[in-house]
Amino acid sequence: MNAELFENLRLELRRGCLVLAVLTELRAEHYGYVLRKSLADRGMAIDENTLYPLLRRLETQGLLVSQWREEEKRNKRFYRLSPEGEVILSQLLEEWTGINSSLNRIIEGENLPQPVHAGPGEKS
Amino acid sequence: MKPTNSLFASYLRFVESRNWVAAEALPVFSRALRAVLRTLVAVFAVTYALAGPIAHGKALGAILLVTLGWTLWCCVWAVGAVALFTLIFRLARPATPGKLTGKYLGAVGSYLPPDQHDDILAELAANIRSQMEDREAELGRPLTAEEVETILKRHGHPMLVAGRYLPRQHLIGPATFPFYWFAVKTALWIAALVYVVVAVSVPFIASMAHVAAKTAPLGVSTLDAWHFLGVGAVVLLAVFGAVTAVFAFLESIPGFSLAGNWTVESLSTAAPERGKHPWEWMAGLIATGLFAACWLAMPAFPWNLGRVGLYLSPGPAWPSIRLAAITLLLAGMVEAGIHLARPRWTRICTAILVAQRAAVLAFLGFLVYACDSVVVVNLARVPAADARQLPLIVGQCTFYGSLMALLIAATVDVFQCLPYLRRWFLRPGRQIKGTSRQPAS
Repeated sequence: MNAELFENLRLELRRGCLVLAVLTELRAEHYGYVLRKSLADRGMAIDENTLYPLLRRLETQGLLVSQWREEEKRNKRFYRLSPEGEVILSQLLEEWTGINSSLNRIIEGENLPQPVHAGPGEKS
Repeated sequence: MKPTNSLFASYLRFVESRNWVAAEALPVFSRALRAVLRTLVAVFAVTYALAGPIAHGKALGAILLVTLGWTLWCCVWAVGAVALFTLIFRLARPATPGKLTGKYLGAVGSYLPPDQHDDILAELAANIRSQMEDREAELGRPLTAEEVETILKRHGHPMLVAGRYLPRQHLIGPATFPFYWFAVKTALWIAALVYVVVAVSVPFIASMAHVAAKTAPLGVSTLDAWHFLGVGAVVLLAVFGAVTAVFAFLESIPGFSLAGNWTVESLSTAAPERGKHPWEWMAGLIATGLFAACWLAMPAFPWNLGRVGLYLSPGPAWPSIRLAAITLLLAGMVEAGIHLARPRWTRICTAILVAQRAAVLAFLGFLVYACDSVVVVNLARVPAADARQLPLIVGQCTFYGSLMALLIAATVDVFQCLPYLRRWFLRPGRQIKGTSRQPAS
């Protein structure tokens, strides 16, 4: 039961981070398989069944652009960050940095509570 | 034979299109199945020739019956042959890696939306090929079918893989679910109430009309309980389905939100939960005591029932029911007394309450079971014209009244028990190792 609970919480914690990792990695052009390997090599392993639908969703949202191209005699679909995606990524990275430093302060038990950086429309 | 042949050819094309039988095995399969069907036709002809004269006079029925049986028999053979050939050819010629990948992608593709079908499959195929190439490079040899199957199985079940690409992966989303669940519960309660009232009152009114008009008897029996419960279940299921369909439709509207516009003023308020005041327990104790005294003082049935008492007499089950009712009332008095005198004895009070609820359900169940023997009609005093219908009406009233009370009590008990059961089941899971330690002071 505890293992299952931990797994659920772990997946929940990772879910948002995966989007950030994928967007960051796609500042350079990659196709799905190489992207997945690259993320796994950096400690952010992601399942194919999560990655490919996520790439499509991000593309539909206009954050990524893709292109079918032949490489090594094979047709592959290459993804990269769109201009809109770059803007969103910089905002997300800023948010991530704020959350990370706040969380570190909380974990280390500092007595100077500072609010997490408030996003647009969010009251601090 | 032409129509039969074209039907047979269509069947073969269908089998081929579904990939049930391997293409190279199809000619053998076709010949074997044709031979089997021809044998069946010959058997049918011989049987008909022999059975025809015997079934003289009932010829049409016999022909139809035999034809139907023969058709079914052919279908069984056709399906069985497919299964048999598939099995034989799988055993004889194991699948190749290429075929396995094609089959897997075909299965995924059958669940994908048509507009994205080719694009998704092409990307998925490229990914699988890349994985296979990497594995082959690691091993330094081509992959076996088992190794390819391992890679494919790691991708997951085709339906799940395809499901991830669907635009909508839930019927009711988390933002709508609280509203949906509230609506379902409310609708089910209302439907159950309306159904019970209608189901009980309609036959009762009808029976009264029969008595007034001195017409045909009612013919009501306890077997109606199954009909009552069966129709009730269907009604509740239909309500549940309708509410779910409405919310699923609302969920499909882009941007729709049930929590969109609300103000604090518009919120409905509910009284906070609190325990009963001692005065409430005192009032309950007095009322229950008076009620129990009435039952105890009732020397014989009917007691001050006016004109009705002329027609009704206690039935064989009456003494047991009277004893059970008095016992239940006394248990209620004991519970109220403990609450007043020893309010901290919560466990004992809970135990009495649970036992009392169970006893009430058993009591009502017994009333339903013994509805014909609670009270009996004093036929000597009833006018001859009503002698046949009045016992039926009395039995019906006892039956439906008890059944309604039983259903309501059981439903209330179940809903009251659910939070406790949920808490009880979830209790072990709430403690995580290492989290229960108090920080060192």
